[in-house]
Amino acid sequence: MKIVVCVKQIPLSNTVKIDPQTHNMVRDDEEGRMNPFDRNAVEEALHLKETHGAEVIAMSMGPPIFTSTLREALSMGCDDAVLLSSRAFGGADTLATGYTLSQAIKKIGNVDLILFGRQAVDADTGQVGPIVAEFLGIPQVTFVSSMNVINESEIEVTRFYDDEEEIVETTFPLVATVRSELNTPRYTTPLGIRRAFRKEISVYNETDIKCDPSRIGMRGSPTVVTDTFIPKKAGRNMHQLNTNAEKAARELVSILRDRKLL
Amino acid sequence: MEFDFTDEQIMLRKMLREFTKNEVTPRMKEMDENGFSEDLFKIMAATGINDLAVPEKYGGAGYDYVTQAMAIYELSKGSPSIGIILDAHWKVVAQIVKYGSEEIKQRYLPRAKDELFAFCITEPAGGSTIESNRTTAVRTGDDWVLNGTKSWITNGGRASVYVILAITDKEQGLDGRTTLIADTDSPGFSLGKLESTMGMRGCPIGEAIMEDCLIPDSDRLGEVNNGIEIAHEAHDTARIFMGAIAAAIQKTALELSVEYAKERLVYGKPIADLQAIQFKIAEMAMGLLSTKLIVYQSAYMKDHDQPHTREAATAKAFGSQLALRAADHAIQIFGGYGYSREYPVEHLWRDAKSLQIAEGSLEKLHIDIANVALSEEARE
Repeated sequence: MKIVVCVKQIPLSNTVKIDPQTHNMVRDDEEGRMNPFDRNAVEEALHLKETHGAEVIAMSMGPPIFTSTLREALSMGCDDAVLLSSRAFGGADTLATGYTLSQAIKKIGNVDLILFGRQAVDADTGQVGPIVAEFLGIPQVTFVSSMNVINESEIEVTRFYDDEEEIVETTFPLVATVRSELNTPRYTTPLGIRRAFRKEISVYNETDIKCDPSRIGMRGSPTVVTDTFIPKKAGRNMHQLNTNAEKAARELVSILRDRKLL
Repeated sequence: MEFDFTDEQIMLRKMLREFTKNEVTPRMKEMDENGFSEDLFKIMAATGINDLAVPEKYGGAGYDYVTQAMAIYELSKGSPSIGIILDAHWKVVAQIVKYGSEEIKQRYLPRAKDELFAFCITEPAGGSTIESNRTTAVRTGDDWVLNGTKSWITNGGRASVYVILAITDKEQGLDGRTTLIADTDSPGFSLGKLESTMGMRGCPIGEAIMEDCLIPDSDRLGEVNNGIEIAHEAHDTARIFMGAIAAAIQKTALELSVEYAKERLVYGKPIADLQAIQFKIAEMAMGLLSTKLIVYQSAYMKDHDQPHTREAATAKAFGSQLALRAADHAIQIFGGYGYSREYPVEHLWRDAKSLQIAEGSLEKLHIDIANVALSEEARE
């Protein structure tokens, strides 16, 4: 089995810097970390490798600094890593990102399973996985909470929503986006880190993966970000009712009625 | 001169911080109350931390001393006891790597992942004063017959591999000592009482008893009568690591103090606004910076085979004084809460105190450092 796990590097802290011109997030100078759901995707790929045998390739798209997240994937146990990096890819929205990733997956060839985290916790769209599936013309299952390989061509997966589960039987090749309920990601290990730093990370640009120039980067991105802002913290407004329980309850009901909350 | 960690060390540090936050810190109090955590030790084994110092050829990750010191610093922020356990464990690994025969390396180093090692120098009479040791080893054919008792062994009682410093030629004084490796199942080897200590309670400290204990000559570590050099090397290694633990205690004391001083209000203002508190915070911050520098400098010197006895002794002697002082300041800043066992700062004080006693007392180290200063031509 050949598995590609797509991982995204997100800012280390929750404080996000926004480019005032483009309204996009500034990614170049951030010390990053791997999107938490993507760690579940890597864990599942490695679990499948250990139980069924697989070659696992971690893939990311972004500036060269994103190699640190790919190294993390390698140190968890992925066999290879690919970074899609070029000025031409800059400013891509989810559509252009999905197109670019799908071109790279085509270049790798014969991929059976493509795993994503259900969404990245910085932008929260959850769109890239499904878009890649569409470009590749293969089945997709989102919000996966369990995976059970039946044989070389079939797999049973559980989609998990907040109040229901759906069990889907489908065939490879497949795109799956995974939830944190799927597994507990392993720690990277000191030896894994040692070995990860001896591996070469392949870097592909638009020529390497035969991209249509009109479909990548800003040009290939119909989404226009008109404004991005960090919500202002609302001041806390506390009202203390200094009286006995009965009176306080009455007063509370009257306050809630006044504010049309009851 | 290079002060930066490599990208690889930074990634390892990130992993260790995550591990410490998730696995070590939550067990700090439990270890203080119940002792060694079998559970945590297993997780550390599975995560490849215990054998981080073992060369790759023997199954470990083969990290150098700077990285080992960094790892001990990071893990000790969660629990100084874990730092002490690894300090004792890795100082044995280091001596096996340096002095062990290929056969010894192949037999023992892969075991460093799931088992604990210990180095035994101290004896009931005379503490770490090697001159007053009484344990003997007598050669009979292919074996050595050991008799004596070793006490205050870090990891003692829980370790399964014990390196023992024994008298092999009384006439030659300190030049008549040899190090031999005993297993818990070596004939004539038994474990004695466990100590109940004030601090570092997550780390087992015990006694080893040799009664006509039989060790094959193939388990001799280093040359016959070269034991004192190996014991000194082991001390030097451990003192760097103890400096790293001292730095970690200071870091925790500083972080907790800063957080508390910003929150605790007196007359409507946080106590962090008061100079009396600020001076303590500044002292802690200065101490932390200086300790880290000497720790990493001595580890660097060890990595580059430069003499580092004075630097390693300084890391421990200077670091342990600053650590105890930082913990003391933290208790003072916390006031009554600092004295309460509900809060972690009194725990830091008890742990810090052990750094002034174990692995050569503060006084012994002062003498060693003074001897270097008085006898040696200035190296700078």
